[in-house]
Amino acid sequence: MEKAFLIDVDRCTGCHSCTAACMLEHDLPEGQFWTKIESYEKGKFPGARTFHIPTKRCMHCKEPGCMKVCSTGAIHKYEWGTVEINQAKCNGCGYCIEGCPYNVPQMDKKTNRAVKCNMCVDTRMIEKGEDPACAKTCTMGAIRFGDRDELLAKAKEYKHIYGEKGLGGAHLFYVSNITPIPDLGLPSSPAVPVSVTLWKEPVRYLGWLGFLGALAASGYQYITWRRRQIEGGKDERKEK
Amino acid sequence: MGISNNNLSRRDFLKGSGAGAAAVVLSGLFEDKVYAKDSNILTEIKREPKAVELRHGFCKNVCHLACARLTTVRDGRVINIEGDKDGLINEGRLCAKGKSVVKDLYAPNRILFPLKRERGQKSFRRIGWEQAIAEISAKLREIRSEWDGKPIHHCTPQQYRRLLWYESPNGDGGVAVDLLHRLGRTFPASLHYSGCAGCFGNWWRAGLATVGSITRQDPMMDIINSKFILNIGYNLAETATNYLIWINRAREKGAKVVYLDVRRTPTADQADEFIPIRPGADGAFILGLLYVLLIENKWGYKDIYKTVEKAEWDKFVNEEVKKYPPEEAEKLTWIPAETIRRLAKEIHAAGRQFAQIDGTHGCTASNGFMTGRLYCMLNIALGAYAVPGGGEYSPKPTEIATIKLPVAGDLLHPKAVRFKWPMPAWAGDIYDWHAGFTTENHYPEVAADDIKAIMVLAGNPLVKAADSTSHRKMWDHIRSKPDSMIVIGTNVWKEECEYADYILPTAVDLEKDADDLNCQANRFLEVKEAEVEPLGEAKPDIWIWNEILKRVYGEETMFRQVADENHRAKLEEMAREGRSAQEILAYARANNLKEVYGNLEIIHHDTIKKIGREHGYDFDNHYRTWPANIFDQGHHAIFQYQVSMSALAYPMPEGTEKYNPWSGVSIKVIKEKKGIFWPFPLAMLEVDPSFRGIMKNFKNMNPMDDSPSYWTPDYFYNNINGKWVLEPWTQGKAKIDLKGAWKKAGIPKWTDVVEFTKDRSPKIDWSEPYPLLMITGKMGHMMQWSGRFNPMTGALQGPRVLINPATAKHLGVKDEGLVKVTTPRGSIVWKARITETVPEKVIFVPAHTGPKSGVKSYAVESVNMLTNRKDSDPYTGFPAYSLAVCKVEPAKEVA
Repeated sequence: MEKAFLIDVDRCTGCHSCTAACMLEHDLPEGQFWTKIESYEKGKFPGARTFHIPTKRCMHCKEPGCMKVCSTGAIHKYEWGTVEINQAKCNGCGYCIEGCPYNVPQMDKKTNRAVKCNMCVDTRMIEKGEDPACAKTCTMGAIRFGDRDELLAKAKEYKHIYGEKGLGGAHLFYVSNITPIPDLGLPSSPAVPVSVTLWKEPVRYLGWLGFLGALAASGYQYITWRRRQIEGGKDERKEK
Repeated sequence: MGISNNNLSRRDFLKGSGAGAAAVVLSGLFEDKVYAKDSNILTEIKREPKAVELRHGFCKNVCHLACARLTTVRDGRVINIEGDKDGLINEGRLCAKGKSVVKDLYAPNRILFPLKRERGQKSFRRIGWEQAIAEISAKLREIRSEWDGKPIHHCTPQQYRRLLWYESPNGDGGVAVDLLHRLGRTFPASLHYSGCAGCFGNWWRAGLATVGSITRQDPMMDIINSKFILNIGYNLAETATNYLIWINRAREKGAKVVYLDVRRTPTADQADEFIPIRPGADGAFILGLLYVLLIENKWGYKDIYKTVEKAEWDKFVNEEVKKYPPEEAEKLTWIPAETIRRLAKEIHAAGRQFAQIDGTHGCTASNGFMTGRLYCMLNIALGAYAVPGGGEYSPKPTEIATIKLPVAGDLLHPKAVRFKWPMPAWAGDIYDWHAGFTTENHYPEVAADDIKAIMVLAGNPLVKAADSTSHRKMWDHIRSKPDSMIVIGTNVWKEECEYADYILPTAVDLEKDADDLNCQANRFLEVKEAEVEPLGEAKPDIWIWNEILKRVYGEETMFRQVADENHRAKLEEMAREGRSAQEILAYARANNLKEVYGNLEIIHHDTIKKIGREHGYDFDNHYRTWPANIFDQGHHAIFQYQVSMSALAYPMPEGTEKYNPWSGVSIKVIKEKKGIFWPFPLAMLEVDPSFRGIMKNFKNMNPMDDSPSYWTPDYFYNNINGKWVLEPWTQGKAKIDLKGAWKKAGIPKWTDVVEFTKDRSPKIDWSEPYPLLMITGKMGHMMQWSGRFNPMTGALQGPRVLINPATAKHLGVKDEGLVKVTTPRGSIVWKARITETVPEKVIFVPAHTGPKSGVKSYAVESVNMLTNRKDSDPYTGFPAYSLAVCKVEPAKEVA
């Protein structure tokens, strides 16, 4: 059964408790956030409304851009939808940062590996119904976690829904009855940047070609060098 | 930068003392490595699922919600903290501030050892506890020897005022009320500042003077039964976050939520309607509503005369309410008359299920006392107090989870003697305890030569007190005296340490026996499961002060204040013979010697469990100060628990059960609308007109002691014509006192705050010397308990002055640019935040914080240094710190 977040930005008061919970849960160093509140003000006093959105958090896409461009295969998906970066496999190349239209993965300065929200898959039994830390602590009940189909149905009751489309659909939906979500700093039509895709597809094949070429060239070099050695009567191996 | 005033400026002092945070590199301040960051004590903890323990406890944050929490401990170290799903109010949620306790526990500038600095020296050196306690208690004994042994009434005011001491629910090392009592007894009429008094002073007294109870709110969750919720400026979203969801639940059930405030806060965004109001005009708005309800229409509570005296009520309506038709209220509040009429109509439609949320902050302007009284009046008029879903609601000490049960002496002894408040020193002394806490704006005058020692049991008064400039001036003066002593109990380096002779490291919340930030909670009954050993050599504050006081005024001399010479001689003899404290206490009780008291003890959870088993109740599952399931066990269990803990020795008074105020509050009961009654006389009056108040029950429980379980200095004694009498309602029928006997306050009425008497217009007159208004408030959601900006939030790491774009444009102020805010008292320079959440004429400056953070002091400058000394409440004397006239200009200097 696929899992998902439903985040009601109308309810969020920007209390930061999700951020703090996440930091403690994952023992994050100060300054690194897997979920972070951004605030946007609309209108004039007294009608001004401030929207808060827990952002910088992984959308857990069905067709994740990060996974597509990862150079080492460190990024994998769980059957219930979590997208996770395997720290042991990651080499810190940073392609995933480029490959994510939501600009979510970030570099851990200490380990030089890419990190991001993993739905608390390493700390909680989320697949068995336990809430991730942020959803559990949300003081306004703005972050909900559960069965994706059920939450998507709930999300559709709202006027504005975000996350249903793009990269095959996400396992996180932002909803609001007041504001379009892209107004709150998220891309209106998220897609993996072509340049990064190129890197992974044709350009990567070019890379392989180059590598093979280099291999061939060095082979050729060895043969010619070896030939010169023998011709010159200096076959070291023979001497030994 | 810096505070400027006519005399000694902050910077001058710091320069002169050579110990200022601004000038000093802290490593040079200590001869030894004393910070946690300098040792390997903070080495990183790796997460390993094995060997992890979950421990239950409750959050003792100053928001008073008392959320149940679960702490994850591994190898004696706290690695995570989250809400407990079984929590009555929080249901598993825990706010960022609640979680930040971990950051306080392992703060890099956590002080690990007792420190001493000789006068004339710059640096502190590490000393042992024995030395610290011996030296401090010797100094206190010396101070006290001036009058020790004399009957209390033979001492001079100056002799009493040798000690100035601080405690606070906000900061670190909070101290149980009972410890304060003990100190108060040791140094009667000593000058005492409490953080509670700063915030609650007016609000408490307003309730006390009007409805006879300082805590007149309903249990918080009961708000889901309301039909109309009027939130008068209680910014829950940023201060008591976990409560807001209950208000949303009421909305989902159909209640309308109206939020009234000067600033459009996140709480306003969650309401159905936001009504901006002029600062300080809450009372005028309420009178406008009452005019429509009571005079234009006859919409008030039909049985109003059951709860109030007819003559008094009619006088209030005909003399005060009559002055405020909505058109008049509009001029004062900036709220259109038609809006007031519409709201009155909507409130009337809700009937008695009208809920009012009000905080203490509305009562911290110079008309705060009367504003607080008018808060009560609206509820009285609607008959809202006595019904489910009606009345005042607020997380401020509601005591649902944290009822205070003061105990002293050997609690388990069948004839234990409870504490009482210190005896009055002499009639008319404004510094006597019974006259209330000393209001700090009087400090500089009294301080001059009387005070010989300052003891900070807890708190951060130089930043957070309502008028911190007065405190700073006084501290400068006391520090300049060669024979003075300044002792700071703290867990981290803070401003007060700059003045210290001794720094005593206190254990913090989560550490064994330590730190009960919420003074309404009872540390004696606290769940002590969520505990780890204190870091370094830190000790629980209760241990520290108890050890010191024992030596100053130990058991062998504790009866020195007994006025009767024969009894005193007998007690002295018993002490000489080495008789036990129990015997001495027993003698005292037998002879009605109220001045004798015992030492403090902490009750651990095991004792509570044992008592439960003895009485056939399950007290095992403690989450808060109460066992988690106590409300399900019914009022017998609750009362048994109280009696067991508080007054084990005393038989339950006859008829008590009938009036048991905590009649089984639980979510189930609340949801089923069976009705709940709260320890508040009005609710009881409808049930039984002969009700004489819950205090009587407590009094009966403790025949020796005339102090009840509820705590406020002015609660019992009032100085009327030089004679101390019990006031206002403990000796008679519970009543609403509209006559205002308290301090001759008279019928509730509204007066404008001092600053506005000339200019009440919402338009800015730029020709005025102070054209703008400054309001203050907390931004608790971004802060740690200690007042530092919480690095776990990813939010701002420093305060911002909120300014409307139009005003900023006129002033040439840029977003994130520096601004200088000047009030008649002084200036501060902070960064600006341009925002549409404040009106053009008003700026918002956060309180309890300053721009500096890190391993030095947390905050050097504070908006509380700008408090205008002239503007204090005429009835209570409390400084008006939430509101001031001001001017703003762009600044270049770095704060």
